Amino acid sequence: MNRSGISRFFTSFPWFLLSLPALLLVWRLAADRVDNPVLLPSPNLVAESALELFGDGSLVADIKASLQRVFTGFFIASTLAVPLALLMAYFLPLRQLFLPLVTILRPIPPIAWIPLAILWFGLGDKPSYFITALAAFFPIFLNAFAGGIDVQPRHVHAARFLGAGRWLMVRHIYLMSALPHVWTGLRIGLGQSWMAVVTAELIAAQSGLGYMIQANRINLETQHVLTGMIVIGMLGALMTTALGWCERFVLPWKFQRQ
Amino acid sequence: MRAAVMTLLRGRKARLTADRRFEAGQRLRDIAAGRLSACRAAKVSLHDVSVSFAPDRSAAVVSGLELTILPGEFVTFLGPSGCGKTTLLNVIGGMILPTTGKVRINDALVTAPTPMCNIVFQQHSLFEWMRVADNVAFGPRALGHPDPRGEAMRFLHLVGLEEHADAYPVTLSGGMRQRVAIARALATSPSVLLMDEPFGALDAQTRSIMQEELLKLRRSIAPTVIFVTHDVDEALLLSDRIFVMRAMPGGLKEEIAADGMFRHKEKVLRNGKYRALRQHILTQIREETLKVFNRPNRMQR
Repeated sequence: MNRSGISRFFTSFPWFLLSLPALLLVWRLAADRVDNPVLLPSPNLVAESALELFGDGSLVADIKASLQRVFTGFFIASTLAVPLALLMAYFLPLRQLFLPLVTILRPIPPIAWIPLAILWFGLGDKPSYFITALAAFFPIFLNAFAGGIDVQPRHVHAARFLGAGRWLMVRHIYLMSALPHVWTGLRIGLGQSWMAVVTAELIAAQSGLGYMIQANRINLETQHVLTGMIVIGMLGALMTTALGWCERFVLPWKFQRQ
Repeated sequence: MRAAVMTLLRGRKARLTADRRFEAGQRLRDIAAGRLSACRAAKVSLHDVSVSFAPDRSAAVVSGLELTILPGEFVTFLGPSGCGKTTLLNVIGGMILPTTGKVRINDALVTAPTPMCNIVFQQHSLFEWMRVADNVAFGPRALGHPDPRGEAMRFLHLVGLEEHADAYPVTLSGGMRQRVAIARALATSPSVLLMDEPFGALDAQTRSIMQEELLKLRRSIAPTVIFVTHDVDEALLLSDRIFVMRAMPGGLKEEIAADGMFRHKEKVLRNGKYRALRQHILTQIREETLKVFNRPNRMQR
């Protein structure tokens, strides 16, 4: 971590230490006021539920199932979206062929695909892979496409004058120019697929955090529902932080200052 | 039929570019092995060059240009905005093909950018994702130099930036970035160096230092330099020959031999010949600028 990173951490951390107990206090007061654990269980009850679910291993199994779906879907989406977007950015006929399709398909929310996904793939992992991949595909695709068309002519000209052949041009100029946008797309895409996996599991799966929330909602075990929600939030935040850290290694020049 | 001809022509152009890249790489390997002295300056000749961006080839930006630049010469193009200075540089570099006429570097027809010729742009064109040394080593590496990093360090030393070799361009000042850009352009030992207002974005003090640096570099490495600027003092300081350009369409209005007479800045300011020449050039440029301003359909363009 560089100096600005350390100072940023130390300036933001005390606020986090302050905001977390404040939230717990408000939650506790609200739970006491409502006085109905089905409507709003207290933080203590949720903590006990978390310990119980961790203890019997069911929460870990659900986390593993959800993570597997997110990463599989995300992997499929990025493997397809990045090359397709870059090829479309560099080759006009491909752009003209596929861009209208993307424009039509993009506004359809992933949740609208769930009935078709169940029909095509049945229940289980496959529809979840499909939905998470679909949710991640468009943000990754659109950002990578923007990166592909954002290559600066002066960089291309400079590289040509320096004698770059086709392969060097693609590897060092086109791909590297697009990389910041591609990375932004991957970050957004991972967030989207994380949100989509919960939606998909609510309807089309029999394991995972979304399924666990849904099952406990039916049983009126609201403390388990809240545990699931908190775990989703914490894992999402962890992923965002991890990606932020990785960015320093993937795009090191973005963190340099004059 | 037309498509087939175009495909053939494109194939020929690609082969020509590949051949020139091979030649440049071979030359660089020869220089590295000591079989050849660095930066052989080249002759640049323009024959009846016109450029028009209109589909019907009307409204030429540059028209009927005839010009020969001798090996090792430092030539500057001066003129009002929009007179086609940068277009002309792009044509010489092969980034734009002339609508009519031919550009040759040492009798080789220019059809695409090649490493025989290199360019320094006004805005820095360094690859911001590469460290300074990698930027400078890019050309030698692309041309198959046996020690691209060593070559990069040699040129960074020449511009006094070897201690910044591992920095990213974003951490450097404007002047330092342009020095890296010059080092990068020179690292392929080009025969012709094109400079498109390379110091235009710098403050006066840095600009003055950079001009002196460029003169120093010219003493050790002497390619043919084709320079574009708006600054008359800069042109007089650096050039062997100055071409004042006319506008609408762009072309040569006047050729002035400076012959490097004004290379000692501190001495020339009181020099009567310098002041007269400076005033003369300014008048010529003003005439052309007014011509553009007074065009009757200027507002409709």
